[in-house]
Amino acid sequence: MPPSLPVGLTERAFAERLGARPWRLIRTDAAPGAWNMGVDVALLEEALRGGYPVLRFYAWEPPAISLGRFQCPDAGIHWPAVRRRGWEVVRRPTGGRAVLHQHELTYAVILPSGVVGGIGVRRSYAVLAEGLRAGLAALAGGAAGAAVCGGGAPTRHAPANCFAQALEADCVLEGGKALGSAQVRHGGALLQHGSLLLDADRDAWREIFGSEGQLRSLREITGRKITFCQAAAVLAQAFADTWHLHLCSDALTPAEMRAAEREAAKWSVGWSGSAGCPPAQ
Amino acid sequence: MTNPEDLRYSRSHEWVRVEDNRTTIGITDYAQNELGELVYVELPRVGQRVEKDQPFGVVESVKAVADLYAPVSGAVVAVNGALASDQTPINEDPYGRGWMVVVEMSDPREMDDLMTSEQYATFVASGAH
Repeated sequence: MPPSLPVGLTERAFAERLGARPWRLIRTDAAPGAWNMGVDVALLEEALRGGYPVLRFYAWEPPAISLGRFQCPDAGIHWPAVRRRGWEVVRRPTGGRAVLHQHELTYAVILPSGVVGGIGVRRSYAVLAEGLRAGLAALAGGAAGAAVCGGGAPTRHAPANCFAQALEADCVLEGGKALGSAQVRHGGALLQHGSLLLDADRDAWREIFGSEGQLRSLREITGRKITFCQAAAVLAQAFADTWHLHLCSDALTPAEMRAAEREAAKWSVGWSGSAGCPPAQ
Repeated sequence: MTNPEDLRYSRSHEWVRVEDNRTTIGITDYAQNELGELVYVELPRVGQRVEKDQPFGVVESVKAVADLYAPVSGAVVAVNGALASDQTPINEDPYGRGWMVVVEMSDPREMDDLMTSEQYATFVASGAH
């Protein structure tokens, strides 16, 4: 099937395809943001070559601000507060708005075109949300009501902060946004990644974005600390159970590592602030 | 919205209007409706060459970035530059003000692969895409 604008296929057909092949389960150590984006893009390129579906978990060290693929950083972000903390700035290959990556788990789902089958963006968000919702419910336990995934549609004049509003791609728990996701489609393959807030430095969010938005971390919801490892294990199990996936623990190949190194330079933004919009990739 | 009968349609949901050897290209009403409100569009420059079934631009909607695919090959001779600052026409008037590029075709026989409005309607209804 030739690549196409992502506007077709039913949810059911897509969900059935998800479990048709084994998935690679990859956990990488906390790493700088540009390298993290480089890995996701390298895995997307591997998917273009017909690679296996991937579920990846990772964290960011040092903390970083990621900008949406085409987001202009001029408005809504207080760059001196980011600079003072020594945090990094990267651009994501996916859409959406800025995220502060700290005290969180990032997940990435990478699917080859044979699995994607051209499913529409909104439909794919809805299907993948089933696994995310199950994972959130398990993580929150009895401390929270059911997670709701899928909010309003984005607008052309959205706030700079991704967590300022909950949209179709996001998950809300106890009235706050706990998980924000975004996608890119390329050559029929799909990369969706998202940030799950394990904890929140609300002072930092407020200082950098001017307000905390709708964020709500798992620690605030459950009243207890949930570690990266715990969250990754629970989410992986939820994905496996939801679509009957066979997850095989794996590591990046040497070729993927080299590709990630090459890609990393493309996604590092550096300090932009009021200097204007950095060029999109 | 019905698909205009004087246009041709690709399986990747672009429409094509032919005038002499020049084709005006945009995305279909079905596509814009499925994608949702577009918040960004990136199009090629005038003079750039596009290849059939290869990406010629990028759109963002619902926090998702996706490629646009060229329904025919050729050189870009005009670009709807207004879309860079305002993508509203793509959603509101996809077959009119939402046009994206004009391409001077290098191989008019590629038009044979495109669908009529009736065929495209059947294609969309079948869910085979």
